[in-house]
Amino acid sequence: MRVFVTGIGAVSCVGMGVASLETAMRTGISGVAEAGDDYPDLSPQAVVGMVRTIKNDAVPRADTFLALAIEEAFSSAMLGAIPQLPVYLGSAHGHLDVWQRKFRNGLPYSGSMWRLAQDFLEQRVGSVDVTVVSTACTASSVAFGLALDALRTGQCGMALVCGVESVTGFLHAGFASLRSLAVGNCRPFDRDRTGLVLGEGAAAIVLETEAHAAQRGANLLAEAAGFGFCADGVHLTAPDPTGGGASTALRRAIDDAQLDEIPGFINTHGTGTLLNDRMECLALKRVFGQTISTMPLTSTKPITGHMCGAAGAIEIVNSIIGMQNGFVPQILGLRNQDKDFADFDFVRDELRTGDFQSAISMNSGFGGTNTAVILKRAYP
Amino acid sequence: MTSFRVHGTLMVDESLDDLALAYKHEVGWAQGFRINIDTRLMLLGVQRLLTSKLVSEPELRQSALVVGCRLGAMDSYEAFEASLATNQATPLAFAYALPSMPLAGVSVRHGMRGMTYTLTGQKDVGLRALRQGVGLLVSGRADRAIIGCWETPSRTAQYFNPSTRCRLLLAIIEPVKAGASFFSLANIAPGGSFDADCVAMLATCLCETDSLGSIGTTGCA
Repeated sequence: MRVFVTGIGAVSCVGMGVASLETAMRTGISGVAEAGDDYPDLSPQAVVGMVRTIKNDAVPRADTFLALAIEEAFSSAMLGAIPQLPVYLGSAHGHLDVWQRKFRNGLPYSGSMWRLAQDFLEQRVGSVDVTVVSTACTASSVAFGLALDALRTGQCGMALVCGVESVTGFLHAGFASLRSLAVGNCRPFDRDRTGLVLGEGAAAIVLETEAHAAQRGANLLAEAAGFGFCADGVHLTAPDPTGGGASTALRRAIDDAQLDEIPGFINTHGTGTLLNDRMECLALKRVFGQTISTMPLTSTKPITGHMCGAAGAIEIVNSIIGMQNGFVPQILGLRNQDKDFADFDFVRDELRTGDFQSAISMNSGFGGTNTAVILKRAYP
Repeated sequence: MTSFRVHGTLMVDESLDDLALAYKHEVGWAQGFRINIDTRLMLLGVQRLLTSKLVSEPELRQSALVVGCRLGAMDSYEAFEASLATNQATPLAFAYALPSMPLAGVSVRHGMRGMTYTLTGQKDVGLRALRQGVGLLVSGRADRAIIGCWETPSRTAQYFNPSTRCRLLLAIIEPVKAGASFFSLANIAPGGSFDADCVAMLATCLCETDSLGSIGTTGCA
């Protein structure tokens, strides 16, 4: 059974909505900047991708991001009243900001770290059923895979996939303690890359079976063609240095999608850390061999920051935007391509235009989880 | 219609002290001597599945593992937050605060390279793990799913559950031939009338399921 994306929504440091993302990707603008004085939980010099237009601390930031992204996705999918909807939501740390505030003040935490967007969805949808996945930075791509399977096996005709993360002092200090943060901006696949930059926001994706979409005359944005997952099974806190898990996830996705042509482009995980970028290139080489030199590769993390649990969903949205509009965004900050990846076709200096019939979005997470999602262009 | 059966269940219910002892003697994993209580609990449970021969090592490696936790590894969150207060951030505590680390521990310890999905959420998270495990079998992504849920004590968890016990429930779900009796997941769908913590709720559900022989998929919609 074929499954299609019929609605997308996003909130990120480049602004509200998918249009902001498209503009940033087209023009090579990053939303990453020094935190400044607006976030007392962060050092003013901390380089992060914050959603600066949302400063309301009265509700969890994650819920605010989600409500905006979901409403845009519903609008994009031309959905009015929704009687029932299964929701698959990925986040690495949920409502960490609320827990942290309560814990620091010695207050009991009576909410749930993981009751994400529930209030909004209960108001907006007749009957909602939210499953929350937390597999670190692959959380929302795993959520995408679970939704895809639920649709394919006839469990539902339509599902919503979301990813969300909010940047907190806890999260920033955690990555700092792991020495994973970049000095300045992140520069994926660059010789002088020093690490990742955190970002926050949410993405929402409406998925429908072909029959469900046709019945209500939905606009098809892309086909959700395949999903693959593989655990490294190698190390608790570092990626498999050979790229074994990521390459297997990629192969499984290609098999799942029955992809028999060279993908139009690949949106890599591309965090800008020494270990991740090397691992990912080895994984790509293992799957595609020398053909990899003919595939445009990008990373959108220098634009949005690394949105952790939301990375999978926002990068699927980015891939759809690129495929629909015939461009692959440049990798901001990539100046001197690492000589170890000299034969890779990274998109740099300017965006790449073309007629891209398919795209792959790859993610890897702490603890050795790897995913690949394959999207194909949809035609009305 | 595909039907599924519960091949076996295993419950771990230990105090913190007993968990430390049992982990040392039964798991004894040198690489994991500094891991958090959540990961120790998960590794102990999987080790007991192996010891009781409910699953073999090769079967384990090919299984999907879908386990839920209502809150996540709050003890590690608290440890890292406390380390920040003293300006001595502990990277391991941050790493282990990720809810997915217990399953990562199993993946590394036993070389599992299939689906290892951690769910979080509310008190029905064990039932959701059961449903997603069945979903992986229905979709053909796995031939066997080990599903379950866990909870460990922490300052944060005290508000929800005053128990100081570390509890884990695991169950092995496998397909059975068509025509067998089945237990409809509609009866245990999230939003039902259960009002217990996640491990007890899943245990109740699996007891009912066991007595009926197998699990059907009609309630997944």
